[in-house]
Amino acid sequence: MNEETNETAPAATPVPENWTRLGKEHLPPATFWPAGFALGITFVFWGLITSWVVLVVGLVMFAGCLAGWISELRHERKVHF
Amino acid sequence: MSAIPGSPTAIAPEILTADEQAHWKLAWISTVDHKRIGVLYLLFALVFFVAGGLEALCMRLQLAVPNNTLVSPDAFNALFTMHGTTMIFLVAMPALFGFANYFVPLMIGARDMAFPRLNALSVWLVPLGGALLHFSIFVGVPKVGWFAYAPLSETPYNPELGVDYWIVALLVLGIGSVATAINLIATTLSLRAPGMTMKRVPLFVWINFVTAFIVVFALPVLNAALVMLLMDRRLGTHFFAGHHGGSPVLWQHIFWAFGHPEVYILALPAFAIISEIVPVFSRKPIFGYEFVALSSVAIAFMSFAVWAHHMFTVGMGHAAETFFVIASMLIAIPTGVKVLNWSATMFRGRIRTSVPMLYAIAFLLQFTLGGLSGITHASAALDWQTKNSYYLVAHFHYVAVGGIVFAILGAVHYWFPKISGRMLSERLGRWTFWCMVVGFNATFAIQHILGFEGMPRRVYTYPDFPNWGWMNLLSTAGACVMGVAAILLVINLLVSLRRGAPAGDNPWDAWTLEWATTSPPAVHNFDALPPIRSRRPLWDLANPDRPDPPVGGDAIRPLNKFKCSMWTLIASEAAFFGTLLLVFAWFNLRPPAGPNATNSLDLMKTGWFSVCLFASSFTLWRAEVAERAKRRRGMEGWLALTIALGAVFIVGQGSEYLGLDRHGVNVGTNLFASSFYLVTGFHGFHVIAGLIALTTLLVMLLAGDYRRWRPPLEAIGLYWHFVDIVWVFVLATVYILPRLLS
Repeated sequence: MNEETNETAPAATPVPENWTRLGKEHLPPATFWPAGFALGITFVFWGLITSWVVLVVGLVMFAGCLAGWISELRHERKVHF
Repeated sequence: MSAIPGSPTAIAPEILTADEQAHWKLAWISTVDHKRIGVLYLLFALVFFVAGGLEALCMRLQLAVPNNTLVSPDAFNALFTMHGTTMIFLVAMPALFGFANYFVPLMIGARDMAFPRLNALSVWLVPLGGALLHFSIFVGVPKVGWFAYAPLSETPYNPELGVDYWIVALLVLGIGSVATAINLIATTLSLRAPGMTMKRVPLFVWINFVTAFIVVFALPVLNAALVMLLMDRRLGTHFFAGHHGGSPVLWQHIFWAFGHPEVYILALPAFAIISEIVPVFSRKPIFGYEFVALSSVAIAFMSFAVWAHHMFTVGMGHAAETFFVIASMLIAIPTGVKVLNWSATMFRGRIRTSVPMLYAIAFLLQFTLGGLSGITHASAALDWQTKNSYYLVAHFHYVAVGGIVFAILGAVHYWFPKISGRMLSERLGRWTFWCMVVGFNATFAIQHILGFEGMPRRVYTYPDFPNWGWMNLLSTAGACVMGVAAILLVINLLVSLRRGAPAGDNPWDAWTLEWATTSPPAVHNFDALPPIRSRRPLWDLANPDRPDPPVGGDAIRPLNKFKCSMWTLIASEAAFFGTLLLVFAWFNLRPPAGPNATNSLDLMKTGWFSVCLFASSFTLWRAEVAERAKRRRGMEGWLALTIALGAVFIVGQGSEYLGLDRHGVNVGTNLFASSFYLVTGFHGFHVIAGLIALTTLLVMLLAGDYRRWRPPLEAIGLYWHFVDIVWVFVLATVYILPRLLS
């Protein structure tokens, strides 16, 4: 595993006979956007039953994390594909 | 770390890498690895299991002796509400999703789920939904049961915020569950390794795949009901308030239309676990693979046709009751098929009674007992007598604990070595198992008798009737023994995680692909895969002289994961809108007094902005054609026109709302207005979501994002066309049908 690029690379370890070595594949790196997005969703629902302030905080988190998520996808596509 | 089994680094001492040890909290919060997400699900389930278990213990201590005053009536109601909700939504579902998350990709030879980030979103909605539910402790815990029957759950009877927290918590959890289900379906259909055809995937994968479809169709039904209940409580509507023309029975119909499939959302993955454990510890392939898989499909279909057996005591009429009696009895057949398959697998097998197998055997006996008592509830006449007694409590706990929890515990003992790289203590495991068996049966077997003796459920105390006292005391003692089992389990997990014997790659000599990699697996799961020609690739590998006969051809046609997920999302949304439209029909086929569809809606005006929406489907199709023809400018133009037409529709709908409001028709006016705003409001919300997606796509196109790759126009287009089709049904049901009928 190449930690820098988060891409699987063929390992040096020998492959047992008859096994098929799998190709290189990009795996998404760790990210905080999904957890933040989940928090945004929660605040939106919490705001529905409490206060518009909580709702607005939720909407801002929701939109911000979604934007971050999309920008990360765009960056990933440019770099890895 | 290598993923080649047998390599020197095959036993990893820790689940986190060395770099991640320094900031392990952030590593867990930011992870998108399906295995860590699976572990997170299991940890959250364990935490909430402790909470739900303590709630159960409090209830049992209150009921230990007659006329007890340890817990007040209100506190007791709060306890059984929180216990039921917690155990179903925060323990069983997350635990089963956890195993599915961890092992479905491994079993099909994939490196992760189809959408790792979506997977991370789903898992974090579990603790956050749980936090919302438990925040109600500070504002008034809900006291309405996990079923929240109306009108008890309506504001006049429960004015505290607790029920609102219960509603929004379930909505948050529901979003996560549907996202997980979509992810599981897309993963299974699009990421299978070469040779892993649907005829060869392990039954664990097959059954979780089927379960995901139940989630996709059932959860939106609950979400629709929750939205209406929230509107009743916050916006002054009366969907479920009988004194204003609403229908408490409608709540029961919708809730159980979700609630009974939910039973199978929990039971089927338990069957999946047992279908893995029993063959491995019987040293035989599963008997009747096809029957186990197909009976799961049959259960999935039938689970949507049996809900009203929860409502026999409502009195639905002879025809309806007869239908649901027959359907409820029929669903026992595919379940019985599975019991037969597992028993036949064990028959003449070389059974190893390791702890996972002990749990599987106990599951088989206890679940069968629970199933048999379930069949008695399928008889409406008998159900009338036992419905609200402890007989029913005994029945569903034999299914939920004797079946599902035992299967989960079996899975914990079976897969802990793979997850952690270390074995659980067999000795401590056996102690835990026997405490569970004794404790569980002591708690719940006697409750069958208590029910027959007439003890009603959901009561906080009871008079000192003959035999009730000692039977309840025995039940409480059993619950305490189960508490001991839970403590032993936690000790075993903690101690074994640190000091357990190294597990190696395949400690049980099992045959599915998760055992073909290291324990714990590398981040990328596999560097290489063994040949997959049958359902037991590792058996074939270990026994080259007598491999299983090849199953079917090798060719697989993995589907596009974006299209898979979008179709699944559409199916889920169809269930949601289907429920909303049925509700509209329920209240409006006979137009209510006052404002109604005939005298308040302007069909001509709506027709004009509807044409814009329908035209937007055409323009989006033209954009798709232009995209396929690589005519970039054309695509951007058609896309912009689609957005403009969609915006016109939204403006038109807004002006319709303003007009109605000017005439005094607002959401709380009557049931027509409530159901009208419900249906059209949610449709409008979906149009707006589609507009945001299309606008984002257009901006990215203009920014030059898709010069080298194809834009996801087809997937977003599917969603947009679906939203347009929904409007056809809305137009027919809301605007046209009431006119025709009047």
